[in-house]
Amino acid sequence: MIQEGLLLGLSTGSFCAISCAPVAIPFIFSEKIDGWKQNAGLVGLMLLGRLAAYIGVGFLVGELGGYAVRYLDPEIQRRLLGISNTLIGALMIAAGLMHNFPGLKFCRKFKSVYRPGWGSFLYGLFTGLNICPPFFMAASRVFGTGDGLSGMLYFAMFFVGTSVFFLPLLGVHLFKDRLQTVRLVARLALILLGVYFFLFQGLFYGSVGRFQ
Amino acid sequence: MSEKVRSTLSPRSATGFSLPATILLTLGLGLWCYMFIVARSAGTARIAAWIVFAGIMTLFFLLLRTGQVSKYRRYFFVAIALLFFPEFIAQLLETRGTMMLGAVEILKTETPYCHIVTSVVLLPWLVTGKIVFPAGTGAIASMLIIWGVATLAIGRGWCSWACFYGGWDDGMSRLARKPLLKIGVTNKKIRYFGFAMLAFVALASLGTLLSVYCDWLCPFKIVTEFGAVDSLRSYAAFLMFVLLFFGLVIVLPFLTKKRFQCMSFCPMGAFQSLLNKFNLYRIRIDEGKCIGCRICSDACPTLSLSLPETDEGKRVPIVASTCTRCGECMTACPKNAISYGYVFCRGKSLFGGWREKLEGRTGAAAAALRRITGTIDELLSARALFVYSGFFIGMVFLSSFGTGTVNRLIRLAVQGSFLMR
Repeated sequence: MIQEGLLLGLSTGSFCAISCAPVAIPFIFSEKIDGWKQNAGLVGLMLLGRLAAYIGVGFLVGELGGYAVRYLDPEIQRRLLGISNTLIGALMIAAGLMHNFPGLKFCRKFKSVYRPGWGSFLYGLFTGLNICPPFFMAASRVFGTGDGLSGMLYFAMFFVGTSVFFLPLLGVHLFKDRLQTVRLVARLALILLGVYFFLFQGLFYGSVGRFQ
Repeated sequence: MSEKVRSTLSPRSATGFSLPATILLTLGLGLWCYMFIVARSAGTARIAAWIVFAGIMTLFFLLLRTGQVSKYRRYFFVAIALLFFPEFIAQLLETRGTMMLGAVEILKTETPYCHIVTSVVLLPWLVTGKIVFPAGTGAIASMLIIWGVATLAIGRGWCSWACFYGGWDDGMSRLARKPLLKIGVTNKKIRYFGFAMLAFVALASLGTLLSVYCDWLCPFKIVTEFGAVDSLRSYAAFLMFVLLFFGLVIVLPFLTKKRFQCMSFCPMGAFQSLLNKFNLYRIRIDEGKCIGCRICSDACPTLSLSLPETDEGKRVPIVASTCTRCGECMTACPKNAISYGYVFCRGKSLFGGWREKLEGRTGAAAAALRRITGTIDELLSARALFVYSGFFIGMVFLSSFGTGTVNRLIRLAVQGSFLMR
């Protein structure tokens, strides 16, 4: 089962990376990074956030067993996805505004509580709750075990497999410091993507589905 | 430099090409123009084709002869935009009966493919191998070929010479005499907002495998085609299209005299900026002539001239990659310090050495040689070849749509109907 979780992650992880790219890339590029240690720290915390989400879901789905079918119900999936996207969007908008308009009262307040490390962890946590197809496959495999610990282990290995596809983010510091414009663009894109996640992928999708 | 001193400076009269060089270049373009426009037409469309042919040739001749690149380019560019849409919409009405895009067209992948989509679908295609836009392979391939060749030829000049959308905000940005709403010429957030848009639509399209820009954000949907308006989602999308068109393409360019849509919103413009170095041409600023008056940066419709402080305190502008090579700065410069140049040859003349050898020599043969080498020099100059390439690419778009619109206008005048059926 350990091997299976790892292989599932390795074989489908590109899909997870694609789903998370709109959040991870602008966030990492928008932060002021001085060197590889800081960059690795942010990427590590983001992955830790994903791991926390995976382990939590793995435990719940494994422990609840048949009851977890409700969690896999499309209607509940949609609502959960809507909530997590709304939270991601709100965080991105707040961080984007803070970077771009530091003089605003809200931004000054947000800056006093915002820490890039925490931001990174939360991004990882919220994106980790997204029920993308590979995640769905892993969850369906786990709910048959009826054992929370097995579920956690399975998801932990699934996380290891998918994390391979996030490794390119460790190279961001190599060229980022030479391009101040990239940071400016990433900070603007953070707001745009935040609005998109908050409204379209979050509120609208979570409340009325495909917003038809 | 103080505003008082700046106000006393006025643009120098532009230097036009010599008559032989003008005629040769016009004939060269005329040949292509004949093949693309006139030779392909028949019946009443031939009259329309000759009208379009004459219009292009006149503008090109005047551009070369007067040297007023930005003025005649703008006329040509606005004409491309204004002549494109009536024909496009008429074709949709004739084939579909509506401008609305239904599920049938999407399923059949028969949606017309425009160049802006390239910037949106490229990242999802590179990562997943899927094109997240319902167009046929033929439509995509033909647009990519035209765009690829144009990009290699004129870089982001595409946005001022060929794009059939750009003429809208270019034209609107020239209507007011003075900007009614001033924006800082060194405002980096506005200049680079287009890159943020590119990052946004590329990443969002990758994450959702949907063409997010086309679904929600394209300002030109209301003058081309849009999804069927039959649900809450489609009403919201349509409202977005209307607001974006009037806001970014009409109102903001008029108020600011800047090309807001092309500069700050179009993802394709930002994508072209990334590729702007992969072609032969550059905008050159002669530091010896430049007096640092900043008139050029005020005139630039895309905020593409940044102004770093030099050691002597004089501010010689630096041309950013966002430059669309429209020629506005050249027209505005009071010292003729800005010009088109080649990437490989910083000097202005390829045959300068030849002519130096002929200096001081008298006689008819030397005079004739001087004239011939001078004309060859003009023909091979970056300015000549750049504007030739720009007009050529724009002409390719005008060839079918422009002729179609003029043909329909003739039909409207004669038979009272704009549509063919």
